[in-house]
Amino acid sequence: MPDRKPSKYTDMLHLITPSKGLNVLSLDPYVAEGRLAMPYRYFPGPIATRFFLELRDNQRIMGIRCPTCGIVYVPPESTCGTCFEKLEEWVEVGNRGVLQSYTVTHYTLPVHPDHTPIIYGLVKLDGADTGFLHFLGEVENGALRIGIKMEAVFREERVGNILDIKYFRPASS
Amino acid sequence: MTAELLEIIIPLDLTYRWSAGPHLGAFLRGLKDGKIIANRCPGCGRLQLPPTPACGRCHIGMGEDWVELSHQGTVISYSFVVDPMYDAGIGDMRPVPYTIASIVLDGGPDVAFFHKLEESTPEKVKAGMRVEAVFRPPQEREGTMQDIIHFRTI
Amino acid sequence: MSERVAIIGIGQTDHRYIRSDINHEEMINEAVRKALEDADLTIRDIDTVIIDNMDLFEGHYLSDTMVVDGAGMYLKPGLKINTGGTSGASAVATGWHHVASAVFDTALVIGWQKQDASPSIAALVTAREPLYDRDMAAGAVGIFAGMGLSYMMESGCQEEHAALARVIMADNARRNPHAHLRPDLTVDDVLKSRVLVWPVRLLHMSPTSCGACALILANEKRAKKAAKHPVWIKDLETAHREQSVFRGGCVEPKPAISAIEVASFRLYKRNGITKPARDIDVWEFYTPSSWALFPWMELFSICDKGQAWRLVEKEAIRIEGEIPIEPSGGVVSTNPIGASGVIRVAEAALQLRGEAGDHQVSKKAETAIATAWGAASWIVMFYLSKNL
Repeated sequence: MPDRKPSKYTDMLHLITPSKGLNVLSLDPYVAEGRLAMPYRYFPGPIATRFFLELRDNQRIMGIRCPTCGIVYVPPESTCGTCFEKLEEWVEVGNRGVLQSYTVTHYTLPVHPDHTPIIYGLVKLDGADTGFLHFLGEVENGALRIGIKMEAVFREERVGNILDIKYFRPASS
Repeated sequence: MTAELLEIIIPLDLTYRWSAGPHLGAFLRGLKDGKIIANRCPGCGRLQLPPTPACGRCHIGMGEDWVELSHQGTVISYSFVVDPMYDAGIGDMRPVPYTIASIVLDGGPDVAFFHKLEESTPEKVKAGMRVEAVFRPPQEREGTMQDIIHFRTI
Repeated sequence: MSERVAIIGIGQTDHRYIRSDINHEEMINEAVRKALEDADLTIRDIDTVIIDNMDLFEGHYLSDTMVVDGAGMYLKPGLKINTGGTSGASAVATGWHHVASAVFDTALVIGWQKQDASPSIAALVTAREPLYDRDMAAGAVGIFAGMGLSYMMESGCQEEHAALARVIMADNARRNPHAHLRPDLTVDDVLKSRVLVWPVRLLHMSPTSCGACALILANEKRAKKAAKHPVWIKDLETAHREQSVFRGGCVEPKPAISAIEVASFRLYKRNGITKPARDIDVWEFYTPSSWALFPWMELFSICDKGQAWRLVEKEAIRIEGEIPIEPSGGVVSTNPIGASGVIRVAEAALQLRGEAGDHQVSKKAETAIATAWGAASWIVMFYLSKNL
């Protein structure tokens, strides 16, 4: 792949809608509404980059193993917190795993996708030692129970970030 | 693995609601009425602009001894903002160039008012020059610092 | 009675405009590993971790939680510090308190900033009051322009002197492999650089940088067993001004007293420093602009009022000079803001160890002052010594 140059801030401004400054809601007591809109750009680093590119290009979820304690982190980390070891040993953990926990939210904040209920789940993929947090989808009423098998569903169009996985759904078969 | 550069762009867009409180609120309401208002410390007699609830020196409550200052004053320092900059409050690049200044208003010798100058030609701006506030017409004022358009040279 | 505290480990990344090759946690990990290696210790030898960062610049509230594992903070006690530009120094001061209190034997202090994440000036400006002056304020440049203007008017200093100060910093930075900006500058280059807010030109201001710096502090018992000669933080002082810049511009038409004077008088008096230019061998100031150097040299009592520009003219502040200032190239060459305060202390410590390589000062360096400045004229300063 050709080496792409990092975006400039001005390239990112189209993601933010301009507005006027302060909006006075009430004069007495004085209350005004204002805004804080900042474009942020993150470079994921080599470990996270590989993880995201595997999602994008191969629809494959990868973990990484600590040479000292043997824990397989999914998503992968650069340093094992317990051992302070640099992590380098990649492990394919497959796209299926066990549901460790979940929670159903019935209201949304501005950061959420707009449908409710939104279900978050912690899935321990086969071969991983950590739970992987993501959305759960295609869930019928009463279908979720701790311990059931889940499988990842990928988006058609993937760009190389965590949302390339659309959600986990109860595994077929 | 390739050395492909990945970047994750996440715009942050938050709305805040700010309460000015009775002291700053009185000042901002004053602007809507075409007034520049400070308050005076009952202890040391010094002014605060904009008004504050307590005097930083005496550590006592300022109360509501409001003092209306003149619209005319003297420039003590200034900055020409010429470099384009992003403004998180409007989600866009801020229009430049403009001049900001610290102005000691007549009637308020121990405080300085911070606002824009109409003049942005460097040769025409000097410390010590006299300026006067230009307010928007009353119907266009909202109770913000923008109710003053800028200070013009007199 | 407090424990004595020494620096026994120093690590910093190479500071650059962009680090697209790594993320925040990995950048911090680089500095932490170097500090541990320098001290010949493992993370298990660290009792507490103090980390600082200016959260809004990377857009992470609680930015420390994002970097726990790589920073070596997992399950360790510690604190997150944010005091504006002086954050790094406040973090070092906090680490010092943790060890001086005898509650912890060792402390790891980490300063970092990854300024390739956002337009920093927009983040900086949110320090201003939103209802009063945020939409007019434009960052720190104006403050230094005011400083420069007043200094020129009162002392006879010319633009050439600020340009020379900048050239000296560039010369120093080229001898420091960690420094960010390392240009080959002449006085003419500086005088021709674009005016931001006169007399401040583009070249007078610090860059936005990405970098991390880590220090390992230890009490006397552990310091005496350290792999390298410990550098003692003998004393420190903090002061900041009420009626700050952020409530209505520069409120006082002529500020009566500076936080720098207050802090330095107290520190000098406690330590018997009567002639700073003679008693201190190396100075690592935090001057974000070449124009700040002159008034601040005078406020730190290096010379009489109005005389700092003459010392610069004589090039007395060079690495080979009698009063070496910022031999690392200073903040004007390298400014990952959260790290900058830590870098000042780290660079001063390297000088006292004799390990500054090409930018080691020529004179014998046994004592140093490292300072940081930020936000509401917040000054934190340290008195370092090779000897107990």
